[in-house]
Amino acid sequence: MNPLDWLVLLGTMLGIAAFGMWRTRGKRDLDHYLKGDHNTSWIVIGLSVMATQASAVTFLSTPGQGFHDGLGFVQNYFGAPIALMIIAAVFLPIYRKLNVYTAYEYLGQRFDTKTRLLAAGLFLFQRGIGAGITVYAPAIVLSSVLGWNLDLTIALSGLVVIIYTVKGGSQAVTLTQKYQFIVIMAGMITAFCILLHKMPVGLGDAMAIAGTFGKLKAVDYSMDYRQRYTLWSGLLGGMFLALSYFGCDQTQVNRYIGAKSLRESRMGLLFNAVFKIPMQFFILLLGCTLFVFYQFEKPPVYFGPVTWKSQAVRRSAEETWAQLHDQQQKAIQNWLDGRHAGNRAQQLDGLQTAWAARTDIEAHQNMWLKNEDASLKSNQSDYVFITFILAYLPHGLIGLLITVFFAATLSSKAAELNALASTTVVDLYRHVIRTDASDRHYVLAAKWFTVFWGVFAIVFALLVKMAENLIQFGNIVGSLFYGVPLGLFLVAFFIKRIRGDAVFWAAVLSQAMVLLLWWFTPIGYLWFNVIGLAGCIAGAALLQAVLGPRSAQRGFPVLPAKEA
Amino acid sequence: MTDTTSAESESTGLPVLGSWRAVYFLVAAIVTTYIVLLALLTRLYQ
Repeated sequence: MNPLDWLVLLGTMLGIAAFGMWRTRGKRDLDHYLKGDHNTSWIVIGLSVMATQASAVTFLSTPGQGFHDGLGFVQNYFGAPIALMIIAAVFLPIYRKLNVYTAYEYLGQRFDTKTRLLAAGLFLFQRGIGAGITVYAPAIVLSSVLGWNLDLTIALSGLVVIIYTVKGGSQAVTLTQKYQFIVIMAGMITAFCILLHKMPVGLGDAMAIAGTFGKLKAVDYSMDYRQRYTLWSGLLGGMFLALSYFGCDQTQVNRYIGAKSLRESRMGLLFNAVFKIPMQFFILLLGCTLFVFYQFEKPPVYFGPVTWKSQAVRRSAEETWAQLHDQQQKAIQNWLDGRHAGNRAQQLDGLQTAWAARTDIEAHQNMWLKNEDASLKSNQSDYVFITFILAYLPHGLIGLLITVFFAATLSSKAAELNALASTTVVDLYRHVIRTDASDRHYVLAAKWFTVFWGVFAIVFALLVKMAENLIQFGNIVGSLFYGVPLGLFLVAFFIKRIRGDAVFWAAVLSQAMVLLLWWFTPIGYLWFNVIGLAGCIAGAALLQAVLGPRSAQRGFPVLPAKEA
Repeated sequence: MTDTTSAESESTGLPVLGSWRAVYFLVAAIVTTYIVLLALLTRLYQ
């Protein structure tokens, strides 16, 4: 990075943070601090929800996923629009009607305090760890390719977000997310245009090459449950995952309950229902286009940090690599020439040679790793896009794209800190510890809890250095603690006769069962979402039947009688 | 579901789509179109 890149990076990041603090200056009561000024329009809500979900990993790793595996990952998002519509139609009117600060407050009103505290506790545990990973994951990639100090990168990006989140509360988070997301989209679209401009073949040929190598397989109808991404797993699994994340996770609930009206909140959610799939498609397509680009431009042997056994081994591997790449490039050109001339024999010959060269390339990559000539510290996918940016983009735009990754980090982390502070103050501190303090006291407490969770996330990221395993660890923790809360909310919304005692103990037992199964069995971690959800709902129904109608008489009505 | 029913009667504020049911239908139609287009893309380059 040169001074121009630094100017773009620091100017944009600090400028947005300072603007957010300036626009949200002045004293606020707890309602305005935690939920915003109640004048947020649907487009800002929509961008805020989108920016909260799209962390730096989305923009760093997803193009790499497109590069290696093609468009298939987009299926993961097929269920999200269904979930968002269910939330807009069912969850949202209830949250707004009850005027809750947090989603868990609703559980307290519908069931009882212990159920509310259980759900809030599960959220604080998994999201507290998640906030650490939000900072750590991009920092490890950017520090390794840019030569920055990892600890300093984590600490500085963490401090910036703490300052403006503490100062301006929810309103500052929403406002900065709007501008950060505009910068993110501008950067990604610019990178895509430059990539197309540098591509030595036209769009039609590029698509044909990507399709030939299986990168454009966006929909897989396979019923094989071992396949990670299929139409069915995307629709069903993706729907439950999105229902849990958008409907029951305070990080997202915080973003949309503070809108001007129910209409604005709803339109913000439906904006995401419409644009989520195209956005993910675009990022994956960028990765597929990078794949085609690197069929003509020689890529590194491996993307990301690699340690070679010796310099001699490295040189030898790079020479072999260059020859293999040349062979593949000539074969692809031969195939394209045949395609343009309508010569089927030439096309077939070129295609077969290109496939053979591709297989040879992958075989060599695997052989060097297997023989321990080379060792990789992390997942190559995370480094594909950043390698392209640093090698092919002009200065200034490099700064803009690095800004994209930091903007994504800050926007996700700010929403997480805001939600963690809201839950700690509203569900724990105000409800259990200090029930009779002034509004001013709670605002101050919310600020200190934001600082606490911000520092917790930084310390977690600084102390726990497990590289790629950490990101997987984050996914495992998410899956272990997402199913049961979703079960609690679905029971609350849809099964009127079940009351607090039954659902609480069912949730405790289901969570214990999930943890035991995770520890003692080899079940894939994504299944724990389903196990926790099913266990909680079935267990609550069973316990309610055992406890009988006496227990069912207590509690809050499922839905309020009528709209105010 | 009294609460959600009354919430459904709230105006969408959109000139053409007067009810929320119509808005949901439109969103569902758009998403279905995406999936169909992606399926066609898959088939085209298989």
